Amino acid sequence: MAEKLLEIKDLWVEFKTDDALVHALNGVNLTVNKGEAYGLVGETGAGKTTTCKSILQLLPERVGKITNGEILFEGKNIPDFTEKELEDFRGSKCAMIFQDPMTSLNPVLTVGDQVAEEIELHNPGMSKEDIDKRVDDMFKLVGLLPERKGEFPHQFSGGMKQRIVIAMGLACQPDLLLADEPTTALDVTIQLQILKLMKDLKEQMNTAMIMVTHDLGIVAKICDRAGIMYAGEIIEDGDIEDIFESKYHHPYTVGLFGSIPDLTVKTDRLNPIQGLMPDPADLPTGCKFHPRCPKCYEECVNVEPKVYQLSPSHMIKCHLFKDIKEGGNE
Amino acid sequence: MSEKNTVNVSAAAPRKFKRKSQLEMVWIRYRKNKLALFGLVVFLIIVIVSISTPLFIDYKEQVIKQNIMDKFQTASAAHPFGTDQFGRDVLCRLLWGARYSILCGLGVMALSLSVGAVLGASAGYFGGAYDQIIMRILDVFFAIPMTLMAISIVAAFGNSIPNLIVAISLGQIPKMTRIIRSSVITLKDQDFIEAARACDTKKSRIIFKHILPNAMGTLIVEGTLTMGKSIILIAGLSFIGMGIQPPAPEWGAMLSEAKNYMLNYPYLMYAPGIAIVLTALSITLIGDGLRDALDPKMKN
Amino acid sequence: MPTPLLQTIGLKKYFKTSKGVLHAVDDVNFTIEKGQTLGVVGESGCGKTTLGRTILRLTEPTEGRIMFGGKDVTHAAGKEMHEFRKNAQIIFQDPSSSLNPRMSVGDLIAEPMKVMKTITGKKALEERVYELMNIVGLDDRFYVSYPHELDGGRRQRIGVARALALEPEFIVCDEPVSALDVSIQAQILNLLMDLQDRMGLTYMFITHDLSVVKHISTDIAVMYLGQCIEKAPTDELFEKPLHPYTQALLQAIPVPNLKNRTIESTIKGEISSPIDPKPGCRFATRCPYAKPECTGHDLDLKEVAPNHFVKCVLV
Repeated sequence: MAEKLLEIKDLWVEFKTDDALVHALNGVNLTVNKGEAYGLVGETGAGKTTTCKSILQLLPERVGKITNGEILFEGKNIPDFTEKELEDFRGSKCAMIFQDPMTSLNPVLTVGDQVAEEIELHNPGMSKEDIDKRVDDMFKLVGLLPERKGEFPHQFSGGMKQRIVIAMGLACQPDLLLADEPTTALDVTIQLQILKLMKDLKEQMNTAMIMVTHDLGIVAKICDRAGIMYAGEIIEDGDIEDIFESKYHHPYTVGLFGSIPDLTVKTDRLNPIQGLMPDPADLPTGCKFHPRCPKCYEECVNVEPKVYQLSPSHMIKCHLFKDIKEGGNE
Repeated sequence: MSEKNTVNVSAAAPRKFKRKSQLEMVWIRYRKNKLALFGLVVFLIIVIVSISTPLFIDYKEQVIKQNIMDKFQTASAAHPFGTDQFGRDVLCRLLWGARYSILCGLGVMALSLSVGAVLGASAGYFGGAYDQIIMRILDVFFAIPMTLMAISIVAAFGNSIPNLIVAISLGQIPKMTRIIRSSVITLKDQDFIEAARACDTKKSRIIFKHILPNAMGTLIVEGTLTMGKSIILIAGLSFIGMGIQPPAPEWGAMLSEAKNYMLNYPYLMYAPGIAIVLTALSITLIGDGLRDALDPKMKN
Repeated sequence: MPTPLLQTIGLKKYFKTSKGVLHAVDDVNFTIEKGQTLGVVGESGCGKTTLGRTILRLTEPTEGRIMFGGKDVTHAAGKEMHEFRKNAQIIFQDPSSSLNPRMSVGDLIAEPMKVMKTITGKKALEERVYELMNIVGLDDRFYVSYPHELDGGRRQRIGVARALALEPEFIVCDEPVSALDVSIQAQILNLLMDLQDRMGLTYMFITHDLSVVKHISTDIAVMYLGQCIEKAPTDELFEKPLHPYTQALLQAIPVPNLKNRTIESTIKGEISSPIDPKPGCRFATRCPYAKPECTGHDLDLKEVAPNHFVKCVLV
């Protein structure tokens, strides 16, 4: 049995703005085991980024608030951390990579200094030479020439910048890496290089990872388990075999797959999901997906579905599966 | 039953989707900013006063006629703000003075805004040598301190109100042009301009229909702020004797006269001083409120 | 043989920069037959967007000719240009920056018809706008809305309606679905394909996403640093990609199934600078099969199979 690294239990997050109460997360449950890559899939506004920010306690002050639930990291609840514990947690235990590499690099510092700073911050008392050596190692690790560490961010291309950001994130060998769409801003050939790098690093350093993405293809390539998010809930969760090869799926997952033009099969029309993401300030009753669901029936409109466990690893939050209980269905 | 029928008929009427006009939406958003609302009320009062003073104040009799016998009276029922060194009623002079400030302020705003909009929009849109020439010429004006330039123009051409307006506008035009030019440059690279060009839209239509409406927010805000500034500048010029001349009760001129007696009769300075500050402040508050209200992306 | 709807002959677009001459589009030749879709694929900086704009003469070409419906429109002006603009329209990538934020949906869609004076009279114009909104699947109630009040998918529908307003024959779609979520992406793709069937439209579909382009195109042109390096009918290109870059592109798409989970990237490094490129194959610096003969002289686009053109010394 794999060892649990991070466990989120029934997490609710709200954003309070002047004119609306936005329900960003509505009872998220997820588990990431040590050394495992977990794919968090969903469309804009599903709550993927909010989930990551909640883990790092980076929700915007006064506006965003955790109203319920626990985020357990190695058994300890992160929202209860003291300022000191939190400082230690961010960076040395858990790091985050953002979508746009330019926003996470300081344009007036050399890239070497920025990686060094990250190391220095979490290893007080480390000697200059040791830090220097670590920076060189990190550069080599992500496939950059250490000679270029004296250059500034604007002298690098997008893919290289993302490598530097990854080097910064991994500089203190965190146990958990949160990658928020790390390749969305990059071209496909560069994306492939970065994905390969991340997969290799994960295997080398045994870092657990939450890979936030909207691209099921990326999940298929590098994740071990995945969760599909919709309107602040995880509506399907399982090993990637469950997600990609099981017969049973949440209708939203089916819709997501139907929306992607398949390179291997010739289809005349795509089968997209009708309608739009619900407004998180005004969520539908019952199942949040029911207004767009082709299989919606009366119960879906009024009653919120329970989570049904189809196999020890595979769960779906949908009324359709209440009769298909545990057992050799797959 | 019949009631129900009429409802049905109107519902089946041709599809017409009424919504609040742009102006109404602007007002709804503006209303939310209490400070801006305060500014607007103060400003409206000043404007009404400046328009209506001739109806109840006689310029010759009440504003400039000297009554040495009544000089330096403190506040009383007859003279709520007292009288000055020539025995003139301070309240009457103050109310009359609003005309000068508002007139000059509006004049400067209109002149600098229209010249700045034409120069800035064309320079930004056409670019190239035309842009370079205009901007370099304006840089020359930019290099001369605003007050100094106004003083020299007034000194050379005399201090009539039109001259004052032109003198102050000249100092505002370079900045106005720059602001409008830069907002036009950002706008012109947007895809919707390209879309308009793809339909063979004429350049003038692109500028007036697609670019200027989007720069309008900046324009109006800059305009109001310029007005506030120029009111202070006019008062300043009059204070040093280069602006509107006594006995006309311009607020700056009143301050200037009052400063000679400020140790013994300080109240003479309060009225024009507060009037200047209040006017400039109200206009600035309006400008701030408008900037937010004119942006359709702001939530209602 | 019928005349193709659109043909470019030696089309070039260079930009002068402080560092040298940027070859955004460098000698591009292709034809699009009526009712077909040419997919133009390439990574950022390959000149695909500039190509689209140059064809529509939103930027003037440096060299070469653009033939539209058999007529040379490279230097068209006045009435001729007016006619060309009516027949060739564009849909943009970012639906939020391509719609004037101060205009309501109704005004936005009516604008091309007002400018071109194709429909006169307020009533007729309004009717036509409702008709177009109906065609692209926008509810009537959005007539008075402003773009920022709508979501990305609906905004892109406005963009489509505006492009259709003048009943063009040809539409350049510049990454029309890249800014949208996958489920919305599929809705817009379906819409574009339905419109093509109904109205006999011809598309040039610019994108970086090969899976999208495969779905919608009849032919595909792959671009690299301003040049078209491979062009073939869609099925042929996916089955037998010949240029090493095309192969790498195809290989780089993460496929959403578990058949092949290893990640192999054959091409190293990143796209080189389009400023003053040296003669020779521009992909040579990253190509795993590069040979000495790849550099030094420019290559031709060779026809290796019917309609399959490749620019590479290996074939």
